[in-house]
Amino acid sequence: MKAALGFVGLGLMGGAIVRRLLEKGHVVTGHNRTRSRAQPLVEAGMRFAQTPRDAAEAADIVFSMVTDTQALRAIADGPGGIVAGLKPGSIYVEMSTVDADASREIADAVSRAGCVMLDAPVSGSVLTIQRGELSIMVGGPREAFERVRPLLLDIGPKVTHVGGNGLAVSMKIAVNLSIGVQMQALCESLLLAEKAGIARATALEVLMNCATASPMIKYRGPFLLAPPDPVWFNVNMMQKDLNLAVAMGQRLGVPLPSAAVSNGMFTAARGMGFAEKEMSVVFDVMARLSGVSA
Amino acid sequence: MANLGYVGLGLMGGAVAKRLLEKGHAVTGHNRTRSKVQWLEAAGMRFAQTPREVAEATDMVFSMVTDTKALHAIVDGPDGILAGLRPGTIYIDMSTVDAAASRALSVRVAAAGAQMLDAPVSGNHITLKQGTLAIMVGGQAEAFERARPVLLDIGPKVTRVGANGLALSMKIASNLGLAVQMLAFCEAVLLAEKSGIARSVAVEVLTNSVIASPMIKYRGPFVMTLPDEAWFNVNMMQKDMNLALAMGQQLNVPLPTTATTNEFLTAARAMGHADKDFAVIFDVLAEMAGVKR
Repeated sequence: MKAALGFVGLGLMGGAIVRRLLEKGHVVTGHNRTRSRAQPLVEAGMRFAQTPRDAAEAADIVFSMVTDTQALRAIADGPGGIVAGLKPGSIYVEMSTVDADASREIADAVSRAGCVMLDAPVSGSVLTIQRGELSIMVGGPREAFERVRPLLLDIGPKVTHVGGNGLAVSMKIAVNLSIGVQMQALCESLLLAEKAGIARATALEVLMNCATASPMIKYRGPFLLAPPDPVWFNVNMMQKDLNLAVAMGQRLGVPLPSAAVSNGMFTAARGMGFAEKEMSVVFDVMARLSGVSA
Repeated sequence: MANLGYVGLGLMGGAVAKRLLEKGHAVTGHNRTRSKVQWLEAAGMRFAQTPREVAEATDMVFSMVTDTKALHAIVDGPDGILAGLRPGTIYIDMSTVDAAASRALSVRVAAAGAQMLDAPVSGNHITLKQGTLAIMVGGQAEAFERARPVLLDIGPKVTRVGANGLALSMKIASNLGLAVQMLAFCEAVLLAEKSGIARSVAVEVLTNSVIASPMIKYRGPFVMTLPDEAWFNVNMMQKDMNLALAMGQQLNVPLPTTATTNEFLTAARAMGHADKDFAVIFDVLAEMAGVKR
């Protein structure tokens, strides 16, 4: 019999994961702060829970995916929170990108409740999930990892245990700094080519097929011609991750020159009023600085 | 099957010539040091004593050398390619050099009644052997169409980006991403490692993540062990970064990550790593982070 699953936080990414779990035949009880957003999933067979606690009580394995550390505290702590509802022996799989220390603190609270927490942030986008190509990093006790592994493989094909609690979010933050830096370098390349006299679409085509064309550049490159609707990953979210990286670097004594430069350009994007725009809007920042219309 | 010439048979040029031979073309080649191309002669290549003789003997001449100075050395003078070019032939230079120098050369080639294309590549000798090399081409559309079938024998992705010199501009623009991506990759590995994740695990995750470009996939593992022979050394990488920065100043395009990354290549040179693969910037950053390689 398949395990009963819970899922708290049904935003763009969380919602796409729940849809995939439903398609794989799992029973999912989900909660979202704004219920109306969960309606399409309810229509696809998801049971709605009134609180994060209700979602945890109904499940053997409960997942969550929210925006930041503060939002995670809001769904995990307190009488209506996930930790209060965890059944003994159940596993809590936390997929948000948050501060590693905060993640470890919640893992300790979960452990005191007789359960196990894993941090399992993902590398990819909505599109990556839909294509079944999401990679998932996992931190926490190996035994719990082995139990949830088949389930994680239903979400995406690449599942890697990187170490103890908090280390997967550390890994995720390390990975994500390159999203900002690669996008910034792509904008530099594109504007250099354009001002040299190459059509923007032609230059982009070359850049999306050359040695630096990462999956991220391949799916986000077209956003430089037309931004996505809805936004996938906005400037505020990108800067949140870069701030986590820079703070981690200072704490651990790892200089992050390219991450710091890139972060400065996202500050510029916010200063220019682009905070809620897709992070690829850093192209508009660079275009203005180059005297080119975006 | 075409009658082709090739001047400059180093790591990349030699591999391109080998591939052209394998596709059944007749290739006449020249290299400054003949002993380095015996393997190509064994594979059927005819050796010519000078660049000029290569041009005289063939319908389509290729060249691939290290920098602008080396290009002038094989093109100019009584033994140079220009002196041997016959009217109606095509000269395809695959080197990564200054775009203005390439354009000036294309004017002299046209005066000799031939046509020049700049056709730099994105990739390395492994990409080439796998048959996945991307080639950008600048020059007249008519010459491009004539050369296209031969270029497709080298790699599957051939794009004409515009007039003479523009493929080089595109190449220089795309190459800055190599060094910037590698620096960000090294930052990520060290951040993960000092958090407590084994370096090999961090490399495994990163080379399978959304930021894993083809370059990251092949060069990322070099932070574990550098290759004995550099695929692309610090000097070469810095040459391309300098070309990009000069272009940026000339065209008024600020390049903040390019400029930052270039400083780390300078540090790598200062620390005695000039001839190592530029993945050695990991060692520079590791030194700064107090981590042993």
